[in-house]
Amino acid sequence: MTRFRQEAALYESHQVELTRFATALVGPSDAADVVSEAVSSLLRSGKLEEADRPEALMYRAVLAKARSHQRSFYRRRARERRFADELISHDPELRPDVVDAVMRLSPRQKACVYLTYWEDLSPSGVAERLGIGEGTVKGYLARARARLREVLDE
Amino acid sequence: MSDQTTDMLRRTMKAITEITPEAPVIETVSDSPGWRRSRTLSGVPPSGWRGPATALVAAAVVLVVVGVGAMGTTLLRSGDSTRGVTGDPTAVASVEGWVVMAFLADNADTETIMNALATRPGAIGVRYVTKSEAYAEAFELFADDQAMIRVLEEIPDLIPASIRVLTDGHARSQALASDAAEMAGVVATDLYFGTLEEYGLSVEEILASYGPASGSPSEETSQITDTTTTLLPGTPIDLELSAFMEEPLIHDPVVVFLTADPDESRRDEFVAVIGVAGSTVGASLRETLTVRARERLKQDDEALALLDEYPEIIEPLIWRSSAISGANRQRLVEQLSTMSGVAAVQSVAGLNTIADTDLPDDAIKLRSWWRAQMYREIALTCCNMSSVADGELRAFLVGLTPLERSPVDLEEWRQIAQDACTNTPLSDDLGMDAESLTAELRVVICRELIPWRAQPLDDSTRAASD
Repeated sequence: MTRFRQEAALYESHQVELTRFATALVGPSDAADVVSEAVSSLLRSGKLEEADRPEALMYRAVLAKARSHQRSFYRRRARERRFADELISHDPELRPDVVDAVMRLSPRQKACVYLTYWEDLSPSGVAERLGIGEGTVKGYLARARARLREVLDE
Repeated sequence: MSDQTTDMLRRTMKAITEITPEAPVIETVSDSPGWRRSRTLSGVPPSGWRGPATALVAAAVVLVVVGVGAMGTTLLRSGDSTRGVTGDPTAVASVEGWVVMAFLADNADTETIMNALATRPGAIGVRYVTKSEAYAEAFELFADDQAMIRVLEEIPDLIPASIRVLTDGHARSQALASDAAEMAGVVATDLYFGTLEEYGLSVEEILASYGPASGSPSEETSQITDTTTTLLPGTPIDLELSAFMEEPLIHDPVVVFLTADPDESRRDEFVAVIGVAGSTVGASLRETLTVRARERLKQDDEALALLDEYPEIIEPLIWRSSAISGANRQRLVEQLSTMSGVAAVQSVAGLNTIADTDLPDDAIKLRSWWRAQMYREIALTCCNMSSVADGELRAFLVGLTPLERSPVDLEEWRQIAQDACTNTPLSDDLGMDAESLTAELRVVICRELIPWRAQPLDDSTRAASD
């Protein structure tokens, strides 16, 4: 199997999880674009082939792309609010303020929250997945929780 | 966190990802022999090196900056030296020549420019380097520098596409660089000469501004933006206005250079604008802005503490717009060109800017305040120009129309701008005297053109800023 076929197969085995991850970061409307751009760049770079943990590399690439994808603070806020509103209409039992608060987190914070509360990864697991230090993960989580706690305690 | 809270977060994440779209199909490329773009310095570009062409057509758009560096054989190392090369590929692969690098805007007519450059005296070969290849090249250049590699990974679009022209000598390169700039209808803002390693250093400078060394990824700078701002009489004044573009699949910011004629009576006004805008490039200039921000915040200990903690709040950006498409960018440039005292306007795409920062809300609020301050200053400065001639104000209004606004507001603003352009005298039509109109327009600009609405931290901050 050629390198590109191997990498394509690798992507296919993780594409659903990666897209869900991207959805958590940028919402459903941009998730596919983010994944597409991130993975395409990886494939072009050839780094996937050499990575010890290619799955983690893909997650990191998606996170990096998500961050650059959301450069516009103003638009991001508006988009996330719209997304949160749409979400509420689908599941009225959810607390809109919590959804809004989660969507307001930075991409990295959201990534840590997603991997912690959706994929049930430990801080060390999140750190490994995102290629950052465990302390950094805890820091992001702490900051995210602090923001969320303000909402939840109200 | 309590179990209940954890459960709430899990439910929230579940809901957020519940409507995950279908995973995209990623197009992969084949393992074609000789394609070594990733870990070679050059790879084989789609267009390849090309010899002198027959067509010589003036390039209408583009070009931005021309760099010149000595090109060694390393840079020319490709998977297949004969592939994609016209003219004399052997010469291309072996000559220790010089290369002129022309960084391109996204809307550049690459083919035309390449053809034109290839006909220039001394041009041995022309080659197009895509963003991806430039990215891979930068990766190679900084293979031993993990900090730089991290920056590249964070901002993969950082390095722009370019056309590289191999020449047979230094002097030829200089001449060709000037030609290239002239071809694009602009004056080269910067030239640099050196070796491949020096090119690496130049790239490093760009990357460093995004890296840990600068304390923030939000700095925008490059050899392109490092324009001359000498304010001595008789010298050009380059005013850089940066904008930010975020349309689907387009993430390049727009940089607009205004070159003011120093002999114009309004030179001082441009200098005043530069005081706000032009001095916002580079880390050292950030310090200047920080000093200014601190002066305005001197009554607000909390804000000052935030500024200490998050120095990246002070950004070098002047205009950031998510609504400037290629067409609007051109329109903006055209409008700015109509302002008297503006000798030249250059629109530049291909630079990268601002990355998200993980700032807490209060720091974001402070940053928004600072942005508003800058916009306000710029707006007021430009409004002052209107007292000289309404034409400038009109051009300014129309030129700013593409700035980020909601569709409804944009239409409303267009109407205002249109009125400003079509009614003569404007003040009569609106039933107010010129002074009142100017004051009103100032308010409109300050209130409406600031994407991040002015949200002073508190009354004391407002007082300090006023």
